[in-house]
Amino acid sequence: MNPAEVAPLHRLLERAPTTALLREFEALLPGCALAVIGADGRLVAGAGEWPRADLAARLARGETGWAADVRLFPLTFQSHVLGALAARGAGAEAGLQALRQTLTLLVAQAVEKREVAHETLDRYREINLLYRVAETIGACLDPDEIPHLELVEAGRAVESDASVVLLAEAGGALEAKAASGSADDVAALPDAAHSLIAQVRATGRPDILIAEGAPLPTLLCAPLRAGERVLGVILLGRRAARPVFTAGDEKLVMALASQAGIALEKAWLHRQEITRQRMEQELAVGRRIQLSLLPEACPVVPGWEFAATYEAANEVGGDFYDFFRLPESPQHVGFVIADVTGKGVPAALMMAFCRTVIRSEAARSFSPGQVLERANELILQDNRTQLLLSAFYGLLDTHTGRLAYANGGHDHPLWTRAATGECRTLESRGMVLGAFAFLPIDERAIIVEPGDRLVFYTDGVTEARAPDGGMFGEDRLQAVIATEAALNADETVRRVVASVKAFAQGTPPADDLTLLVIRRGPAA
Amino acid sequence: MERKVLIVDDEAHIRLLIEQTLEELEDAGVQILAAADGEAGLELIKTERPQLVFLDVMLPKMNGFDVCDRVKHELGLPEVVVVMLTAKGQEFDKQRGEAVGADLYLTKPFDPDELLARAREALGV
Repeated sequence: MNPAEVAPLHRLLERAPTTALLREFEALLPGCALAVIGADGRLVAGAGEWPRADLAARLARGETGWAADVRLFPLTFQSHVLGALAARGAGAEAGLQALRQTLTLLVAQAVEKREVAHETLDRYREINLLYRVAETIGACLDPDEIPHLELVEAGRAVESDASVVLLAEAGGALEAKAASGSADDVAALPDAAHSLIAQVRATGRPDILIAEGAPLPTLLCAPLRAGERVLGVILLGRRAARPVFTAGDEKLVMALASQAGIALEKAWLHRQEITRQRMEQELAVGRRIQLSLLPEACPVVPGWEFAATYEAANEVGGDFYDFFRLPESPQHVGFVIADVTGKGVPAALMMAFCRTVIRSEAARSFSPGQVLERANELILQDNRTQLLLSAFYGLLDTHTGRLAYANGGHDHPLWTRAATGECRTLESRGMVLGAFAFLPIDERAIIVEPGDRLVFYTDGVTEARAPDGGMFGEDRLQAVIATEAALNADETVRRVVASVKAFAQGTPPADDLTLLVIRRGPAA
Repeated sequence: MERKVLIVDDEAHIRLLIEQTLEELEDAGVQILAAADGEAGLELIKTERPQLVFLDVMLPKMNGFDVCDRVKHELGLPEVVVVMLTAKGQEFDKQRGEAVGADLYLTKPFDPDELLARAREALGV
């Protein structure tokens, strides 16, 4: 305990009871006047005039008298001289020594009582800090705001010249999230405390560092913890003019940092949950739009079979398909299978836009190549979302069996010919839509003979995953179709979907699955 | 005019803690007085005329509300700043506090810094 920490004598000995005690002794020691005088010269108890100047210096020199008639009996606590009992006139030495011992005992008790009170007041500060912090930081659900609130509370609890809250980023490096103090002090803080911060992060315990000569020679650092994880640190610095941080300061800042750590964790979880809910809602809305865009039924045309299926994945998915008759020429059936990048509402809106664009362009032109090129231009003109789509557009003349088609970056369809039994892909060049302006898209045509079958699909079929990570693939799809040559369109759809599911063995699909089958009825 | 603060609380340790919190005011010439029950507190208010009173609500002989009421309304000392002290968790009856003219209330365990700041404000120290 240094002298500054021991209270002055008048704070330790109350005037009234001390005066009463002196009176009792004066009665026992006739002719003797008594007083208690503090080292600061202050008269604590006793009546009359007493020389008081230089008392501390005299006591320090070990002087036991003052002028001819005043004897001094020093009052000490441990090695600190706090003042003296002064006696003027007669009075047995033994009696005065007994009084001195009594006063010394009272002083010791008072010091002890004050220490307990001091500790208690520190606890009071801590309790009030925690109550307040629970109301401010604890109730805050904004993780960006918490570091600032923490510095405000730290400033109220413990004086400092600069303070900063550093939080660990994803890579583990610390980043300052809030700072208080002059720019120079704040800038000097993390560098000066480099080793201290590393130690606090490693141990999860607060510590104080005293680095003499540094601009901020005394530093206090405490971890922001959520359970065992250290989320970051709070760092306080004091200039040389202030006293060094105490264990009490450390305790307060640690209490505060613990609350802030828990609050941060809670706020982060809250933010994640809000984001998740928002995404889920958006996906659900997107999904509803997407489903509303799909045709309610496949076309019914004598001599032809049309079948389609769409299975939504949980998360991602931007598949769609469409069938329509050309208003000018009902013998022509137009159909589209497409896959939009992205998900949720933006992808669904893109789908709705493409569906309308392709339908309206199809009404103006019998050339699928032209229809997709024009669609590409319109998408580029209006593509605020930067989404892309792959699309296959076919125009089937149900009278002649002629299928004209164009393909903007979509999976090549499969064509199984009844006459030869072979299965081939319908190749044609074309880039995805929405990426490049004025890109030519090839247009091809085939004649679909009786018994021929066409299978159109999205990557949800070929990229379906098995538990071991293997992909379903185009070869497997071809094999399924080739071995079941006699199946009608509906049966083909069911068989392919069943094969994909058997292959996936319960692995959740990562993407939507869309399948469209057209079969020309066999010749009678 | 000599400035005085009176602490009225039946718990000796609370009196001690408030005294210790306020003791730096003594250096500015403020005298700190204490009483352990409502009647003694009221008596000191009459004789010593403190400018500021920290008054516990639950007191022997006369409770804090009644002491405050007497000071503000019967003794005609509305300028005396009365800070009621109440235990945390024990709901302070704000309506009653307002009716008897209490200026402020603090909960125990009080925040020492806040208590000192309030005392400085009231005494203009």
